[in-house]
Formats: sequence, structure tokens, C-alpha cells
Amino acid sequence: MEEIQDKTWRNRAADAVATETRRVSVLPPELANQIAAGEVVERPASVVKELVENSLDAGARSLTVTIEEGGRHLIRVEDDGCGMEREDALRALERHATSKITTVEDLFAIGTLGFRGEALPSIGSVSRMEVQTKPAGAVAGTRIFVEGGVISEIEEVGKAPGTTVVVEELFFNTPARLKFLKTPNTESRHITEMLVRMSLSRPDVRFRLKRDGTVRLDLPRAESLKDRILAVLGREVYDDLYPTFDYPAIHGVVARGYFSKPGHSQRTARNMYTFVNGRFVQDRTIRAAIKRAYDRMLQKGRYPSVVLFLDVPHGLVDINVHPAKTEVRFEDTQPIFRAVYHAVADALAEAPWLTEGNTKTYQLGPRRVYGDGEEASDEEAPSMIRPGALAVKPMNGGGRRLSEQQAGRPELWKAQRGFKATGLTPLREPPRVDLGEAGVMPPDDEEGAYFSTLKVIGQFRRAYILCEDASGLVVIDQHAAHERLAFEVLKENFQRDHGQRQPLLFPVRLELDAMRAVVMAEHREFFLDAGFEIDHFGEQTYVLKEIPAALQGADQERLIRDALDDLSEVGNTARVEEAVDSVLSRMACHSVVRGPTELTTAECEALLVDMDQIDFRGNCPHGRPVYYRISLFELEKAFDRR
Amino acid sequence: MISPTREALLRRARSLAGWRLDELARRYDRQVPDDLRRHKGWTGRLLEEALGISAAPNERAPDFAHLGIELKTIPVDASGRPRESTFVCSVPLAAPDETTWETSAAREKLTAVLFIPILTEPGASVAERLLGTALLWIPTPDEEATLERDWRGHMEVIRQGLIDNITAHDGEALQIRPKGATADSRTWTVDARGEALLTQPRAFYLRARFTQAILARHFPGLTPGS
Repeated sequence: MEEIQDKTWRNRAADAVATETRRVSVLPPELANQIAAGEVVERPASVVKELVENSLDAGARSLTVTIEEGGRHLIRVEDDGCGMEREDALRALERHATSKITTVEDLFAIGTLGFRGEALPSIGSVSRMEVQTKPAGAVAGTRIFVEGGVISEIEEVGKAPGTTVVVEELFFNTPARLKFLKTPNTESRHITEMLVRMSLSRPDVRFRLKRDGTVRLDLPRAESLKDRILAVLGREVYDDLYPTFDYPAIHGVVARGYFSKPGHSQRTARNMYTFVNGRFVQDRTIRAAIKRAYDRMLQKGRYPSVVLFLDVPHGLVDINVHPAKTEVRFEDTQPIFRAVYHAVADALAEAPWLTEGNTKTYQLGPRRVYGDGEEASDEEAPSMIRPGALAVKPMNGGGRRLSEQQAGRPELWKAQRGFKATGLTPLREPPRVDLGEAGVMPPDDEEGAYFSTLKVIGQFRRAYILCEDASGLVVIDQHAAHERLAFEVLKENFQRDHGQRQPLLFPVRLELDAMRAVVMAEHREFFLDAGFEIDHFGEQTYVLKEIPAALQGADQERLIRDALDDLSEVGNTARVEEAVDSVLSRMACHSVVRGPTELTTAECEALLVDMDQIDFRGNCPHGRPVYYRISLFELEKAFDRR
Repeated sequence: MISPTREALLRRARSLAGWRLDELARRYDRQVPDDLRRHKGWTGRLLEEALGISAAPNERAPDFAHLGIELKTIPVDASGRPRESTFVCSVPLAAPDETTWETSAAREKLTAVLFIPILTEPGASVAERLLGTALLWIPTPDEEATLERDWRGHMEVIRQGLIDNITAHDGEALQIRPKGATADSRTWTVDARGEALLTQPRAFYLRARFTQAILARHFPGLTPGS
């Protein structure tokens, strides 16, 4: 074993094992700061987060973030907060120096966003940093230059009250970190996302983001959270939002905010903004409670838009879990879960959208069962639903799957199989044997022909063509075969006319949220190449004017939003191709006769000849097999002849 | 700025697609009326300004005289169905014998038409109306033949002095309907005996189903109409 290890791999951990006594020494502050920076400063967005948190804690009412090259080259955060005196500014550059807490008790009652006193020294240790600051009323401000964690220059400066921190050449002295940074587009998106989250928690503050000389985000001070949501998430989300239920505090935990109606959903959980004591967090308990509140009102894999603020007593939450502070630890998750669940579920139970435009999206079931099993009478008005009622289920089946409902009613199964519910005795199923091959490439002869070589025996139930080849029985689903042929023709036409676009009579306005708007600005060319003409209409609004001709009738708006989410997450998307295939397969399905149809032998043979003309013959566009082959060997085995 | 070519004009018109009337009006510093019944032609004038129309040399000439293109707005519902017929020009009642199809104002107006659909839903305010994608329509030989046949048929009846026999049901694509500043407006024509007769002014209109078919040809997702 030892020999193998020596030859094939090197155990680097073993290399580091001490072979002689080593002296223990205190790390120099620059190195300690760099190590701390590894946790605090993961990427440019973390720098922005730390600096913006400092600005907010300093009482800023307006802040501007400027970035170049995704923050790699430059990050500047300017605020109009309270500023610092020279001595405080210098002290802030020392590790664990902070104005936000002074005692251990303070650590358990943190009201500010930052408190560790790690941010500035950490950032300063991995960049060239300049801090300019001036408190209101001071004659002059202070400018401090820091390079690789070492203060290189201090001077007086004239500036408006507030603080400006300029971070240049991030990670210039830690190439390993630099190597892990993503493209400027990706890093910019992380920064935008960070600012969007923070802006939701502070509608009273103006947030601006300038990227490479262009203003990408400008969120003026808002009167209310709803106004900020409108600016950040766009009109489409805003119009679908409802306030949460005013549920009383559970162990001091209160959840308030807005949630989207069930008809509104998206492919990712990106629009689920949850905050604990004003701090954006991604917490499994909170998300699970939201998901449970929606229950089956959302399709699998779709997520609502939620902006939810939790007030949690300081004693119940530990935010000092990780320097990035997006994770928190709750002493007891039950009150958190219940507060979130009731805030959303009870508002959903009131179903405010049901009265809109006389169009009911969901109906309340005839019986409502309260959480403790007590039943409400049918006469009770929806307003009588008690807080906590687990009342809303889609109408069909009272929350049970169709299969569950049918379990105790065999006549339903019969009807579904095509037998009459009463009167006739169903044919007996033949003994089940493991036979045949379906949906695989057929064995081609030397010239590539297979189906045209089959001998047609006849038709079964006017839906299947029975054929024989040299050593087996072949059953062809005639509808699936026709459908596959139609699909191939349509696809060939589409590929030939790929550039063919279709103008929309009325362009579709896409009121995008701030994040999607940024992604759209970066990927307009992608959509153009895919056949979508999309114009910028100002701010976060785009107008879809032309679409690929094949996608007429598709849900283009949803397609584009999903594609934007893909582009945001992984940098590419196959949504358009998938949508085209889906549309073509639907068109193919509808373009051929679906019911049982009598075919003459000549027609069957013509179909078989056509099937040899297309590239892939094994499956219909829906993925169902086109043919089923039972070899003579298997047939004989089934009859105990083998 | 005047568009120098048909393509430039169409491009400009299409750039307006997706705008609401209040947004366009704000751009040109105009007030949006509450009701278009008292402000007939307001939308057309706003669009003329947005498209840089030149002053037509005379009433018969198309709106973009230098390009030979007439501008027409079509109020349509969300499914693209026109909500009303489209005014073409006045019927030459006074001297019906002096006009032929080839020299008629109707033909001149219909040689090339820039249609701008406007989404007009019941209950929606004028401000909320949405501009659709413009299309440049040049009649196909079949469409031109239909228009000519309708026009000749109508004018034949007028020449016979039987103007009052023409109803809105006559004509496959081109219909005649009364059109005057007020219900009391009158103009001269001839009666069956060749005598001068005062009658209501009339105008040619394109039937809604005819314009619907044009829209459906350009926007394949729409119903062609019956």
C-alpha cells in the first residue's frame, strides 16, 4: 500500500507534518488580516456588501457604488453618512476595531449590520484602498491610503460630509483568490444582486450603481417598502403582490411583508427575499415555511416572489455564525416556522385575488378544516376563516392525487382504460412477459433501410400496424410514426428558415426586475441571434417586438424570463431550442390524425418507406416509442417452445 | 424630420410600437383628450407629428405625398380584430361622371397605406391605448380588383341618381356610409332624372373584415376574419 501511495499520489497533508519542534508565534497583523479577508472578502460583491453595510450603519441616506471590470479593477462606495474623525478612521483600519459594539452583552443585541470590526482591515489587506472621510461640521476630512494592509499615507482632504472608500486592484497580492474570480459580467451581477437585497431592507436610502461608466441601478428614496419593491422587482411582480397576514407575535417573532399570488411564479427562488432583523438571510426554515404555506398552489419547481421581514428577539437568533452573515442560527426554529407560515398561509387562505375581475384562479374547497381538525360549515364566509386555518386546497380532489381518489373505486380505472363502467366484462390481460424492444434504433440493412423492408401483416384496432421482419414481429404505433414524420418535416423547415422572424401585432412589454434587466442588457445579442427583437424602453422595461416564427403562440414572456434566469445563473440557456422543439412537437401532434384510422396495405407500406427517410425513427416527439419488436426467440420462449 | 424612403418611414413607424398614447403625447407635449368623440383625428395628428409628416399638396394627395403613402390608424381589440371600418375619402357626389377609378381619390389613397394598429379595449382610457406594429400595405392584384369592382359598382348607382339606394351592406371591401360634420350637413348630387339634389355627404370606408384580412396576412397568428 505504501508503495502504491509513493508512486501514484502525494499526500500533501503528510508533507506538512512537523518533523521537528516548531516555535509558536503570533502572526503579523498583515497576514492575520489576509487570513481574515479569506472569510470576509470572498469576491468583489462581498467588498461592496461590507462597505455598504458600513455606510448604512453610519446613517447614510444616499450611497453610490461605482465598479469597473466587475469590481476587480475598482470599487468605490460613497455615502453621506456621519463620517469619522481622523483618529476613528485610523482605528477602523485596525482589526477588531469597531464603533458598533463594546461589550459581550452587545454581541447578543446587535442592531447594526456590521459588528466584527474586520471589514476595513480585511479589504485593505488584499487591495490598494483609499478611505476619505469627514464628519459633518468638521473643517477638513481625512484621506488614508492603505496598500496590502499597510497604511502608506495620511493627509487632510476637503470633501463633503460622509465617507468614500475606494478599493483598487482587489486581490493584487493574493493571486490564488484572483484566479477564482468569474467574468466581469458575473461579478457585476453578484454586486447588483447584493445591492438589490440591501435596497429592499432600506427603502429610505437611495442606492445607485455605476458600472463601467453607465448607471445600471438607480433607486431613489422610497416612501414605503412597496414603492421600493416596484422599483426593484418591476411592475409585473408588484401587481401580483399581497400583504402578509397580520399574525400576532409567536414568542416575540413577527413576520411581515408581501407575497405573490399563486398564479405568479418563476423557475428560481431568486425573488424570495427574506430578512431577519433587517439583514438579508438565506435560511432553510424560513424557505420551508413559505413553501409549506403555498403547498400545492405552486407547480413543482416554481417559486413565488416574496419579500418578508422577520423581527426576531435578539436572544433567539445568533447572527455571528459566519462573517458573510447571510446565515443565522435560531435558538428554536419552531416560532420562526410558525410565524412565517401563518403570515403567508393565512393571507393565502383569505385569497384576496379571487374577487379580481370575476376570474377565479383558485376556489376554496367546500369544507374547510381548521388546524385542530375542527370543521367549518359551508355557510361560513371566507372572512370567517380563522388565522391558522389550513384551508386552501385546489378544488380538484380536496388535496388528494387523482390516483389516490381512484384507489377505492375500480370503476374509475375501468373507464379510464376504455371499458364501459358497467355491463361488459373486461378482457383478461395476457400473461405479462418481459418481451420486446421499443424506442431503440432499428437494425438497418446495408443501405440504411429497415422499415421499408418490413412485410405488412395487417392493422390492429386501426391504430397499430403489424409487420414482420426476418426474425420477429414488429408493431408500429401509426399515430406516433406519423407524428414523428411531421415533426421532422417541421424541424427541417424551421432550420431552413431559422432567420425567419414574426413581428407581433402588439409588442409585449417586459417589466423586468432589476436583476433580470441587468442580464438583459448584457445578453440582447443572444436573443437577437435566437430570433427575438427586443428593444430597451427605458429603465427596467424592454419591449418584445419580433419572435421566431415557430414560436407563435408560445408563452414568450415566460420563455424570456426563464432564459434570463438561466443566463444569470449559468451563462447560457437552451430554453429557446427546447421551446422550439416543444412547439414543433405539438404542431406535429395536431397535424396528424390522432384517432384510430383505417389504412390500406399500400398506405401502411408508404408510411414505412417514409419512416426510412428521417434521421431518427425510434421515438415520437413526445418520447413515446414508435415501434415495438418481439423477436421470434422471445415469442417462442413465451410459448414455452424454448 | 421627414423620412426620405418608404423603408425609413416604416422603420420609424415600427419604432413606435409598444408606446402608449399618453407616453407619445408627453413626448410631443400634447394633452391627451378624455374622449375622442369630441377630438376626432387627434390620434392621427399625433402620429403625423411623430412620423414627421409633410404638408400634403392637396386634400386628394396621400399623407406622405413624396412617398405616395397614406397613413391610417386601425383601432383593434387584443385579438387583432378591427373595431371599426376605416375612412378612405369622400365620395365625389357632385360630379360622378368626371371621375374614373384610375383617377379617383380612393385609388390614390389606397395605392400604399401605412396601417398603425391601436389596441383599443372597451373601458380603457385614450391614454392607455397601445400602438401596435405598423405595416405597409400595398394591395395585391386581387385586392385591387375587389376595390375597383366595389368602387365602380357604387359610382354606377350614384350616376343613375340612386344614391339613397346605397346602404352600408353594399360592397365587398369598400362600403359607402354618410359622413358629414353634422347630421344636417348636405351636399349636391344628381337624382334619377339628372336634376340637382341635396343629400347627405358620403364617404368610402374599408370594411373591418377587409382590414382584418390584411392584418392576418402580416401577423399570421391572427384570425383572417370572415
